[in-house]
Amino acid sequence: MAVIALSGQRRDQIGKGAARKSRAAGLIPGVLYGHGQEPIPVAIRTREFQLALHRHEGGNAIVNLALDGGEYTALIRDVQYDPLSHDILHLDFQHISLTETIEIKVALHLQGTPVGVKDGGGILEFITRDIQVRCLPTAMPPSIDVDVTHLNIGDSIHVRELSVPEVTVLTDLDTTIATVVPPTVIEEKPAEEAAAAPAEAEPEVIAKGKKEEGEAEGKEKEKEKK
Amino acid sequence: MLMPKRVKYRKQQRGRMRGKAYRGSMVVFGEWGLMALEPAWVTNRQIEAARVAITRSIKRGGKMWIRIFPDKPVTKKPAETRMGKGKGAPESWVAVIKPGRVMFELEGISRKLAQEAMDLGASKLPIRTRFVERHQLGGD
Repeated sequence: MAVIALSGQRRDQIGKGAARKSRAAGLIPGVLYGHGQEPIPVAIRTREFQLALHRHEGGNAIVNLALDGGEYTALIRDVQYDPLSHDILHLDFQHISLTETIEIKVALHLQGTPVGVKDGGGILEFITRDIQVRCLPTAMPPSIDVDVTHLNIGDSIHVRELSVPEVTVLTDLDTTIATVVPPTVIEEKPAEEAAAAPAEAEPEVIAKGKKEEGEAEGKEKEKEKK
Repeated sequence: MLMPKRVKYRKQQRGRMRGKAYRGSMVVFGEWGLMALEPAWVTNRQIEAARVAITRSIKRGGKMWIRIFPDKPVTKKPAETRMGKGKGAPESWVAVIKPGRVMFELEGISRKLAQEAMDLGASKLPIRTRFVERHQLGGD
Protein backbone atom coordinates (compact mmCIF):
# COMPACT_ATOMS: atom_id res chain seq x y z
CA MET A 1 0.00 0.00 0.00
CA ALA A 2 1.29 3.45 -0.92
CA VAL A 3 2.19 5.93 1.79
CA ILE A 4 0.54 9.31 1.25
CA ALA A 5 2.59 12.40 1.97
CA LEU A 6 0.81 14.93 4.17
CA SER A 7 2.00 18.01 6.00
CA GLY A 8 0.49 19.57 9.08
CA GLN A 9 1.23 21.76 12.02
CA ARG A 10 1.09 21.37 15.77
CA ARG A 11 -1.84 23.01 17.53
CA ASP A 12 -1.00 25.07 20.59
CA GLN A 13 -4.55 25.43 21.80
CA ILE A 14 -6.95 22.58 22.43
CA GLY A 15 -10.67 22.43 23.14
CA LYS A 16 -13.80 23.05 21.09
CA GLY A 17 -13.32 26.82 20.77
CA ALA A 18 -9.83 26.45 19.31
CA ALA A 19 -10.98 23.55 17.12
CA ARG A 20 -13.82 25.67 15.70
CA LYS A 21 -11.41 28.52 14.99
CA SER A 22 -9.06 26.20 13.14
CA ARG A 23 -11.97 24.83 11.06
CA ALA A 24 -12.98 28.39 10.18
CA ALA A 25 -9.39 29.00 9.08
CA GLY A 26 -9.52 26.08 6.63
CA LEU A 27 -7.82 23.53 8.84
CA ILE A 28 -8.96 20.16 10.15
CA PRO A 29 -8.13 19.61 13.82
CA GLY A 30 -6.75 16.21 14.69
CA VAL A 31 -4.59 14.24 17.07
CA LEU A 32 -1.55 12.04 16.59
CA TYR A 33 -1.12 9.29 19.16
CA GLY A 34 0.28 5.81 19.66
CA HIS A 35 3.63 4.04 19.79
CA GLY A 36 4.10 5.01 23.45
CA GLN A 37 4.33 8.73 22.79
CA GLU A 38 2.38 11.64 24.24
CA PRO A 39 -0.60 12.61 22.05
CA ILE A 40 0.14 15.61 19.81
CA PRO A 41 -2.73 17.92 18.76
CA VAL A 42 -2.31 18.65 15.05
CA ALA A 43 -4.04 20.60 12.29
CA ILE A 44 -4.09 19.68 8.60
CA ARG A 45 -5.08 21.95 5.72
CA THR A 46 -8.53 20.81 4.53
CA ARG A 47 -7.75 21.28 0.83
CA GLU A 48 -4.44 19.43 1.10
CA PHE A 49 -6.09 16.51 2.92
CA GLN A 50 -8.87 16.24 0.32
CA LEU A 51 -6.37 16.29 -2.56
CA ALA A 52 -4.10 13.74 -0.89
CA LEU A 53 -6.95 11.31 -0.16
CA HIS A 54 -8.81 11.90 -3.41
CA ARG A 55 -7.27 8.96 -5.25
CA HIS A 56 -7.07 6.69 -2.21
CA GLU A 57 -9.14 3.51 -2.38
CA GLY A 58 -10.35 1.55 0.62
CA GLY A 59 -10.94 2.62 4.18
CA ASN A 60 -7.43 2.53 5.64
CA ALA A 61 -4.85 5.08 4.60
CA ILE A 62 -1.22 5.33 5.72
CA VAL A 63 0.25 8.81 5.67
CA ASN A 64 3.68 10.26 6.17
CA LEU A 65 2.78 13.19 8.39
CA ALA A 66 5.30 16.00 8.35
CA LEU A 67 4.93 18.17 11.43
CA ASP A 68 7.10 21.04 12.65
CA GLY A 69 10.32 19.25 13.48
CA GLY A 70 9.52 15.65 12.67
CA GLU A 71 7.99 13.10 10.35
CA TYR A 72 5.63 10.40 11.51
CA THR A 73 4.22 7.37 9.72
CA ALA A 74 0.62 7.20 10.76
CA LEU A 75 -2.60 5.35 10.04
CA ILE A 76 -5.79 7.39 9.72
CA ARG A 77 -7.63 5.57 12.48
CA ASP A 78 -10.82 7.62 12.67
CA VAL A 79 -12.54 10.41 10.76
CA GLN A 80 -15.43 12.40 12.21
CA TYR A 81 -17.89 13.95 9.77
CA ASP A 82 -20.55 16.62 10.05
CA PRO A 83 -23.86 14.75 9.69
CA LEU A 84 -25.37 17.26 7.26
CA SER A 85 -22.58 18.77 5.19
CA HIS A 86 -20.31 15.72 5.50
CA ASP A 87 -17.35 18.01 6.09
CA ILE A 88 -14.49 16.43 8.03
CA LEU A 89 -14.57 17.62 11.65
CA HIS A 90 -11.67 15.74 13.20
CA LEU A 91 -8.93 13.24 12.34
CA ASP A 92 -7.26 10.57 14.44
CA PHE A 93 -3.75 9.60 13.34
CA GLN A 94 -2.21 6.53 14.92
CA HIS A 95 1.58 6.55 14.87
CA ILE A 96 2.74 3.16 13.51
CA SER A 97 5.91 1.43 12.47
CA LEU A 98 6.02 -0.12 8.99
CA THR A 99 7.77 -3.19 10.44
CA GLU A 100 5.23 -3.95 13.20
CA THR A 101 1.86 -5.62 12.71
CA ILE A 102 -1.32 -3.64 13.27
CA GLU A 103 -4.98 -4.55 13.67
CA ILE A 104 -7.33 -2.92 11.20
CA LYS A 105 -10.74 -3.35 9.66
CA VAL A 106 -10.75 -4.13 5.95
CA ALA A 107 -13.83 -3.59 3.79
CA LEU A 108 -15.30 -6.51 1.83
CA HIS A 109 -16.51 -5.98 -1.73
CA LEU A 110 -18.97 -8.42 -3.28
CA GLN A 111 -18.16 -9.37 -6.86
CA GLY A 112 -20.74 -10.54 -9.38
CA THR A 113 -24.45 -11.27 -9.26
CA PRO A 114 -25.46 -14.49 -7.49
CA VAL A 115 -27.27 -17.21 -9.48
CA GLY A 116 -30.08 -17.10 -6.92
CA VAL A 117 -30.66 -13.41 -7.65
CA LYS A 118 -30.30 -13.63 -11.42
CA ASP A 119 -32.42 -16.74 -12.00
CA GLY A 120 -34.35 -17.29 -8.76
CA GLY A 121 -35.32 -13.69 -7.99
CA GLY A 122 -33.74 -13.90 -4.52
CA ILE A 123 -32.31 -11.01 -2.53
CA LEU A 124 -28.61 -10.75 -1.76
CA GLU A 125 -28.11 -9.72 1.88
CA PHE A 126 -24.70 -8.23 2.65
CA ILE A 127 -24.39 -8.97 6.36
CA THR A 128 -20.73 -8.38 7.29
CA ARG A 129 -19.22 -5.45 5.41
CA ASP A 130 -15.75 -5.49 6.98
CA ILE A 131 -13.50 -7.87 8.87
CA GLN A 132 -10.85 -7.36 11.52
CA VAL A 133 -7.37 -8.44 10.41
CA ARG A 134 -3.78 -8.30 11.68
CA CYS A 135 -1.05 -7.57 9.16
CA LEU A 136 2.01 -5.50 8.38
CA PRO A 137 1.10 -1.98 7.24
CA THR A 138 2.90 -2.63 3.96
CA ALA A 139 0.77 -5.74 3.29
CA MET A 140 -2.51 -4.07 4.18
CA PRO A 141 -5.15 -4.84 1.51
CA PRO A 142 -7.26 -1.83 0.46
CA SER A 143 -10.28 -4.13 0.32
CA ILE A 144 -11.08 -7.83 -0.04
CA ASP A 145 -13.09 -9.04 -3.02
CA VAL A 146 -15.63 -11.79 -2.34
CA ASP A 147 -17.00 -13.72 -5.31
CA VAL A 148 -20.72 -14.40 -4.79
CA THR A 149 -21.71 -15.55 -8.29
CA HIS A 150 -22.12 -19.21 -7.21
CA LEU A 151 -24.62 -18.45 -4.42
CA ASN A 152 -28.09 -19.88 -4.90
CA ILE A 153 -31.17 -19.15 -2.79
CA GLY A 154 -30.45 -20.23 0.79
CA ASP A 155 -26.66 -20.28 0.29
CA SER A 156 -24.25 -18.19 2.34
CA ILE A 157 -20.60 -17.31 2.21
CA HIS A 158 -18.56 -17.20 5.42
CA VAL A 159 -15.33 -15.61 6.61
CA ARG A 160 -13.57 -18.99 6.59
CA GLU A 161 -13.98 -19.19 2.81
CA LEU A 162 -11.86 -16.08 2.27
CA SER A 163 -8.25 -16.44 1.23
CA VAL A 164 -6.20 -13.34 1.88
CA PRO A 165 -2.41 -13.65 1.62
CA GLU A 166 -0.10 -12.13 4.29
CA VAL A 167 -3.02 -11.36 6.58
CA THR A 168 -4.31 -13.00 9.79
CA VAL A 169 -8.07 -12.84 10.02
CA LEU A 170 -9.25 -12.04 13.57
CA THR A 171 -13.00 -12.03 12.94
CA ASP A 172 -14.81 -15.22 13.93
CA LEU A 173 -14.46 -17.63 10.99
CA ASP A 174 -18.12 -18.68 11.20
CA THR A 175 -19.34 -15.13 10.61
CA THR A 176 -21.63 -14.90 7.59
CA ILE A 177 -20.56 -12.38 4.95
CA ALA A 178 -23.48 -12.58 2.57
CA THR A 179 -26.51 -14.75 1.98
CA VAL A 180 -29.18 -15.04 -0.70
CA VAL A 181 -32.67 -15.13 0.73
CA PRO A 182 -35.94 -15.91 -1.06
CA PRO A 183 -37.93 -12.87 -2.24
CA THR A 184 -40.35 -11.46 0.30
CA VAL A 185 -44.01 -11.58 -0.60
CA ILE A 186 -45.92 -8.56 0.62
CA GLU A 187 -49.45 -9.49 1.61
CA GLU A 188 -51.63 -6.46 1.38
CA LYS A 189 -54.83 -6.49 3.38
CA PRO A 190 -58.04 -5.81 1.47
CA ALA A 191 -59.52 -2.35 2.06
CA GLU A 192 -62.36 -3.75 4.20
CA GLU A 193 -60.00 -5.57 6.54
CA ALA A 194 -57.75 -2.58 6.82
CA ALA A 195 -60.70 -0.38 7.71
CA ALA A 196 -61.92 -2.90 10.29
CA ALA A 197 -58.51 -3.03 11.99
CA PRO A 198 -58.75 -2.26 15.72
CA ALA A 199 -58.01 1.27 16.85
CA GLU A 200 -54.67 1.94 18.50
CA ALA A 201 -54.57 0.64 22.04
CA GLU A 202 -52.56 2.46 24.64
CA PRO A 203 -49.36 0.71 25.72
CA GLU A 204 -49.02 -0.83 29.15
CA VAL A 205 -47.61 1.53 31.77
CA ILE A 206 -44.78 -0.05 33.78
CA ALA A 207 -45.42 -0.31 37.54
CA LYS A 208 -48.63 1.65 37.28
CA GLY A 209 -50.56 -1.00 39.19
CA LYS A 210 -48.12 -0.92 42.09
CA LYS A 211 -48.30 2.85 42.29
CA GLU A 212 -52.10 2.83 42.34
CA GLU A 213 -52.16 0.15 45.03
CA GLY A 214 -49.67 2.15 47.05
CA GLU A 215 -51.74 5.31 46.65
CA ALA A 216 -54.91 3.49 47.67
CA GLU A 217 -53.24 2.06 50.78
CA GLY A 218 -51.92 5.49 51.70
CA LYS A 219 -55.39 7.02 51.43
CA GLU A 220 -56.89 4.30 53.62
CA LYS A 221 -54.25 4.91 56.27
CA GLU A 222 -55.00 8.64 56.20
CA LYS A 223 -58.70 7.91 56.71
CA GLU A 224 -57.92 5.64 59.64
CA LYS A 225 -55.84 8.39 61.26
CA LYS A 226 -58.74 10.83 60.94
CA MET B 1 -48.53 0.93 13.30
CA LEU B 2 -45.34 1.51 15.29
CA MET B 3 -45.71 2.36 18.98
CA PRO B 4 -44.09 1.18 22.23
CA LYS B 5 -45.40 -1.97 23.92
CA ARG B 6 -44.75 -0.68 27.43
CA VAL B 7 -43.99 2.80 28.73
CA LYS B 8 -42.92 4.14 32.09
CA TYR B 9 -45.12 7.25 31.90
CA ARG B 10 -48.22 7.88 29.76
CA LYS B 11 -47.48 11.53 29.03
CA GLN B 12 -44.33 13.47 28.28
CA GLN B 13 -43.28 17.10 28.11
CA ARG B 14 -42.73 18.45 24.61
CA GLY B 15 -39.00 19.17 24.74
CA ARG B 16 -36.92 20.94 22.08
CA MET B 17 -35.22 19.82 18.88
CA ARG B 18 -31.97 21.79 18.83
CA GLY B 19 -28.81 20.75 17.02
CA LYS B 20 -28.02 17.99 14.58
CA ALA B 21 -28.35 14.21 14.82
CA TYR B 22 -24.80 13.09 15.48
CA ARG B 23 -26.02 9.57 16.21
CA GLY B 24 -27.85 7.64 13.52
CA SER B 25 -26.50 9.94 10.82
CA MET B 26 -24.62 7.35 8.74
CA VAL B 27 -25.95 4.62 6.46
CA VAL B 28 -24.92 1.48 8.35
CA PHE B 29 -27.30 -1.36 7.49
CA GLY B 30 -28.02 -0.98 3.79
CA GLU B 31 -26.50 0.74 0.79
CA TRP B 32 -28.86 3.73 0.38
CA GLY B 33 -30.59 5.95 2.91
CA LEU B 34 -33.09 8.78 3.36
CA MET B 35 -31.73 11.58 5.53
CA ALA B 36 -33.78 14.27 7.28
CA LEU B 37 -32.69 17.86 6.63
CA GLU B 38 -35.04 19.54 9.10
CA PRO B 39 -36.11 18.93 12.69
CA ALA B 40 -39.63 17.52 13.08
CA TRP B 41 -41.97 15.23 14.92
CA VAL B 42 -42.69 12.37 12.52
CA THR B 43 -45.84 10.49 13.52
CA ASN B 44 -46.28 6.74 13.37
CA ARG B 45 -48.86 7.24 10.60
CA GLN B 46 -46.34 9.12 8.48
CA ILE B 47 -43.70 6.45 9.08
CA GLU B 48 -46.19 3.76 8.08
CA ALA B 49 -47.23 5.68 4.95
CA ALA B 50 -43.60 6.09 3.92
CA ARG B 51 -42.89 2.40 4.59
CA VAL B 52 -45.83 1.30 2.45
CA ALA B 53 -44.82 3.67 -0.36
CA ILE B 54 -41.22 2.40 -0.34
CA THR B 55 -42.08 -1.31 -0.14
CA ARG B 56 -44.66 -0.98 -2.93
CA SER B 57 -42.14 0.80 -5.08
CA ILE B 58 -39.39 -1.79 -4.66
CA LYS B 59 -41.95 -4.60 -5.06
CA ARG B 60 -40.21 -7.93 -4.47
CA GLY B 61 -36.53 -7.09 -4.46
CA GLY B 62 -34.49 -5.36 -1.82
CA LYS B 63 -34.51 -5.08 1.93
CA MET B 64 -35.59 -2.12 4.00
CA TRP B 65 -34.69 -0.84 7.46
CA ILE B 66 -36.65 1.74 9.47
CA ARG B 67 -34.12 3.52 11.67
CA ILE B 68 -36.58 5.67 13.64
CA PHE B 69 -39.18 4.70 16.23
CA PRO B 70 -42.11 6.78 17.48
CA ASP B 71 -41.59 6.56 21.25
CA LYS B 72 -42.89 9.99 22.28
CA PRO B 73 -46.59 10.31 23.19
CA VAL B 74 -48.38 13.45 22.02
CA THR B 75 -51.47 14.52 23.95
CA LYS B 76 -54.43 16.58 22.81
CA LYS B 77 -57.32 18.18 24.62
CA PRO B 78 -60.82 17.46 23.26
CA ALA B 79 -62.48 20.09 21.07
CA GLU B 80 -64.42 22.92 22.74
CA THR B 81 -62.81 22.31 26.11
CA ARG B 82 -61.90 25.14 28.46
CA MET B 83 -58.26 25.52 29.40
CA GLY B 84 -57.03 23.90 32.58
CA LYS B 85 -58.22 20.65 34.16
CA GLY B 86 -54.92 18.98 33.42
CA LYS B 87 -53.07 17.69 30.40
CA GLY B 88 -55.04 16.12 27.55
CA ALA B 89 -55.22 12.44 26.70
CA PRO B 90 -52.46 10.72 24.63
CA GLU B 91 -53.46 10.90 20.98
CA SER B 92 -50.54 9.80 18.85
CA TRP B 93 -46.91 8.70 18.88
CA VAL B 94 -44.07 10.58 17.25
CA ALA B 95 -40.36 10.13 16.58
CA VAL B 96 -38.25 13.19 17.33
CA ILE B 97 -36.12 13.79 14.24
CA LYS B 98 -33.14 16.11 14.05
CA PRO B 99 -31.36 17.20 10.84
CA GLY B 100 -28.92 14.55 9.65
CA ARG B 101 -30.89 11.56 10.88
CA VAL B 102 -31.02 8.59 8.47
CA MET B 103 -34.63 7.43 8.70
CA PHE B 104 -34.89 4.65 6.12
CA GLU B 105 -32.29 2.40 4.50
CA LEU B 106 -32.44 0.14 1.45
CA GLU B 107 -30.28 -2.65 0.08
CA GLY B 108 -30.33 -5.16 -2.75
CA ILE B 109 -31.64 -2.88 -5.49
CA SER B 110 -30.11 -0.50 -8.01
CA ARG B 111 -29.37 3.11 -7.15
CA LYS B 112 -32.03 4.37 -9.58
CA LEU B 113 -34.75 2.16 -8.10
CA ALA B 114 -33.69 3.06 -4.55
CA GLN B 115 -33.83 6.76 -5.35
CA GLU B 116 -37.30 6.47 -6.86
CA ALA B 117 -38.54 4.52 -3.83
CA MET B 118 -37.03 7.01 -1.40
CA ASP B 119 -38.58 9.93 -3.30
CA LEU B 120 -42.00 8.32 -2.95
CA GLY B 121 -41.38 7.65 0.75
CA ALA B 122 -40.12 11.20 1.31
CA SER B 123 -43.34 12.63 -0.10
CA LYS B 124 -45.19 11.08 2.86
CA LEU B 125 -42.99 12.87 5.41
CA PRO B 126 -43.43 16.42 6.72
CA ILE B 127 -39.78 17.44 6.15
CA ARG B 128 -37.20 18.01 3.44
CA THR B 129 -34.99 14.99 2.93
CA ARG B 130 -31.90 13.93 0.99
CA PHE B 131 -31.03 10.62 -0.67
CA VAL B 132 -27.70 9.43 0.75
CA GLU B 133 -25.40 6.48 0.24
CA ARG B 134 -22.85 4.60 2.32
CA HIS B 135 -19.71 6.67 2.78
CA GLN B 136 -16.10 5.63 2.76
CA LEU B 137 -12.83 7.51 3.30
CA GLY B 138 -11.32 8.80 0.06
CA GLY B 139 -14.46 8.60 -2.06
CA ASP B 140 -17.32 6.16 -2.53
